[in-house]
Amino acid sequence: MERNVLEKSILIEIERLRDEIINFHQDIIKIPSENPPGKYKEISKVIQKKYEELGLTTISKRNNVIGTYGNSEHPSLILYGHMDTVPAYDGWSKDPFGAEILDGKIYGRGSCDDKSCVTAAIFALQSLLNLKIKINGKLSLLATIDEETGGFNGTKYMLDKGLVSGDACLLGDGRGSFPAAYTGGFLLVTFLIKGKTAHALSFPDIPLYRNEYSGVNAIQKMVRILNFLTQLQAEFLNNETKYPNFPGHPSKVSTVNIAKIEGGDKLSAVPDKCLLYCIINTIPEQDVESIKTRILEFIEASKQEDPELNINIQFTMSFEPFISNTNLKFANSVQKTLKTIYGEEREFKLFQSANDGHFFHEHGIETILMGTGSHECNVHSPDEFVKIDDLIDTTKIFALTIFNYLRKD
Amino acid sequence: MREIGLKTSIKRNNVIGELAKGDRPTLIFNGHFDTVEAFKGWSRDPFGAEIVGDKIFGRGASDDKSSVTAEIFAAQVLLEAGVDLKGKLIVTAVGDEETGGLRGADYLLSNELISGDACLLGDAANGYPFGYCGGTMYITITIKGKTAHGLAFPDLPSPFRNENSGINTVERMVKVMNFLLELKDELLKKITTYPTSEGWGSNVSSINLAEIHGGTKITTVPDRCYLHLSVNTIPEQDVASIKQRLLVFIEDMKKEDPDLDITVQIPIAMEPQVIDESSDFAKIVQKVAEKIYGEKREFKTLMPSTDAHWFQERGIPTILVGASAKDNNIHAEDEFVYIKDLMDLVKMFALTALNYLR
Repeated sequence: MERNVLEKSILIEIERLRDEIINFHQDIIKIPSENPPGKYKEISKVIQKKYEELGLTTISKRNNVIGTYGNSEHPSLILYGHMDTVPAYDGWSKDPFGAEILDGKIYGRGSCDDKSCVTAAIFALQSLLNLKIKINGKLSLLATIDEETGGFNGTKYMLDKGLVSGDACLLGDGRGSFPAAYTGGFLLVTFLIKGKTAHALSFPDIPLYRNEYSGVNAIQKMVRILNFLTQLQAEFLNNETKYPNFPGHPSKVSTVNIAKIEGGDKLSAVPDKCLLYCIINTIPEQDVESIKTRILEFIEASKQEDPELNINIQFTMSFEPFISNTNLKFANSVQKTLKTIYGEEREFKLFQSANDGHFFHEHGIETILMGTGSHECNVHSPDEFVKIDDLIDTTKIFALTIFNYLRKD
Repeated sequence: MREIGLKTSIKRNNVIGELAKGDRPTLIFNGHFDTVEAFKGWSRDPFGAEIVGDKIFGRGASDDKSSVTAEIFAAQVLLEAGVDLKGKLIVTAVGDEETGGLRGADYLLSNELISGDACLLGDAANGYPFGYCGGTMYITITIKGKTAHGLAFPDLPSPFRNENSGINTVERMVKVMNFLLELKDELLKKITTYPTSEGWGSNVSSINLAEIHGGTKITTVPDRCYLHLSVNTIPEQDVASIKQRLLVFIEDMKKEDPDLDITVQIPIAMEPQVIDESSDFAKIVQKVAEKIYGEKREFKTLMPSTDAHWFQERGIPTILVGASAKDNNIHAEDEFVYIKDLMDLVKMFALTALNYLR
C-alpha cells in the first residue's frame, strides 16, 4: 500500500481508539506517582500489564518498564515517557488525582507531564498492531521513573545496565507542536557555608573587634556568593542563543536561578550555617564545564581573601547541552510526520528545561524531544491539564514516527 | 517568695513579690526565668543542675535564673536580719524576656501592676554594674514574588521575559543584604566612648543577619523570602535614624523595581539609655559594687537587649547587674554559672536594697 494511504488509516484508527485512549489516560492519572516520595509500584504494574496485553516482551526493573517489539536489532527506536510526576502541591481547584474532564481537557497531576506520553506511546503501537502494519527492526516502549529528580534510578539506570538500547529515541517530554533537537545544559550547585554561632548582640561577627567568643556569620558570608551568581547572570544576558525557542518561552540566554536559601534558626544568634541551592541552565552554545571551573576558581579566590571561610560546594547534578543532527533519517521521519499532522513544516526548537534526553544522547542515541501541550498546561503547578486533542495528536505523531522510521520499504 | 514572707501575686505567670513599709522610695528587683531553648549538643543534662567543682550546669543557670535566685535570697536575708526598711521593695520574676518581654516586663509595667523609683535588673555580665545600654532593633523583611518553573520561566529582565516569568525573591533580597552590610561597615567606624566590659564583644554598633528563608524547591523561582536581622547600637548611636535609612532605601528600591512587593516589620526598636551617674541610686550601686569587689567598679556598657528598656522608657532609672561570666556559654550548650558569681549577685541585690531603702 502507498505510504500516505497507510498513514491515513493509522490516523483513522487512532481516532477510533479515542475513547479507549481517554479512559486509559484517566486510569493512570488516578494512580498517584508523585516524586517525591516516589512510590511507583502500582502505576508500574498497570503499565507492564498493558505492555503485555500488546504482546510486548516486557521487563520491569526498579519500577521502570520496558516493552520491546520487533524482529531484528536495527533500526531500533525507543519511545520514551516518564511515569513519575512532581508532587501535587496545594492550590488546586480540582482533584489532582480525579482525572476530571472539562471543556475538552483532562485535569490531574501528570495529565500533561508526562503520563500523556506514556499513554500516547502505548496507543501509537496499538493502532499499528490493530492495522497489522509490519515494521522493521526493533521498537522499545520505555516508561521510566525518577525523571523529576534527575533520572538516576530511571533512564540512567536502564541505559547504563544495557536494559534499553536503540539507534534513535523519540523522547516524549517537554512541549508539543514542535520537535526539539537542541537542549540546554544544566547545573545544580549547592553551597554550604559553616560559621560559628554566638549570642548575636553580645558577640556579633565583627572581624575588627572579635575575640574567641565572637560568632562567624554564615549568612553574611553567603552574600559574597550571591553577588557572584547575580553577576554571572548579568553576564549571561549578553549571550543570546541562535536556536529558536518554543512559543511562549522568551528566554534566549543562559540563566542562573537562585532557588532556595536557608540560614540561621533564631533571631538572637549569629547563624552558623547557610545553605544555598542554585540552578544554572545554559543555552546550547554555553558549556557547563567552564561554568563549574569559574565557580571553583571564585571559591578558591574567596578562601584566599577570607581564611575563615568554611565553604563546601557540591555539583549535585550537571550535564552538557546537546545538539542533534537534523539531517539524518530519524530527524527526517519526525519532520515528515509533523508535516502530515499539522499540514506544514515544523522547525526544530530549543528546549531549555532539564529532561532525560541527555542520557540517551550521552549513550550515542539520536534523540529528539516531542512532548504534549504548551506552556499553558500548568505543568508543575496547580490545575495541570492536557487537552484531549493534544493527547490524540501526540499519539498520532508517535504512531507515524514509528511508521516512517521503522516501516518496511 | 511567699515562703520568705513577701506578698505575692501572679499575672500571666509573671510573679510579683512585695515588701512594703511605705510608698517611697520604691525599688524594683527584676530577673527573668524564661530561657532560650536547650538546643542540642550538651555534654550534660541541660535540666540536671549538676554541680561540677565551682560551677552549676544547666540551661538558665547563668541567663537568667541566677538573677531570680539572687533577688529572692537577697530579700530573704533582709527579712531574716530584721532590717528596718522604708519604702517598698518589689521583687519581680518574669517570663518572655528572650522573645522581647511584651508579655513579661512590659505587661507588668503597662498594666501598672508594678511601678517604682529605681530598678536593679539582674541580666548582665558579672563584676560590674551596667549603667549604659545600647539600642536594639529587630527587623523582619518579607519579599513576595511569583513562582514559576525555574528553567522554563526564570526571572530575567526584558526582553527575556513574558507574563509567565517568575519574580525571584531571593535575588531581590540580595540587594537588601548588600545595603545592610554596607550600613554595617559604616557603623563599625564609630567607636563608643563609654567603657565596655572586657571580653564582651564589641564597642561598635553592628548588624546581624540572623535568619534567611527563601524558596521551597530547587526547580522553581522562589516566591517568598524572609530575612530576620537585629541591629545593636552603641549608646551614642540612635536607632531611629538607622530605621529611617532602611526605610528610605526600601522606598528607593520600590521606585526602581515596580515588581517589588516588600514589607518591613520592626517589632522591637529600643533607643540606647544612659544612667544619671549623679543620682542617689547610681551612687549607691557603685558604692555597693566597691564593697563587694574590694575596688571601685565603673559603670559599663551593655550591648545586648534586655528588659531594661521597658523600665527606662517609663522613666525608671535602671542599672543592670548579673552573674554571667563570659565563658558561661549563655544561649549555647553546657551553660553554667560560677557559684561565686551567684553569691556575689545575691550580695549585690541585698546591699543595694539595704542602702537605697534604709
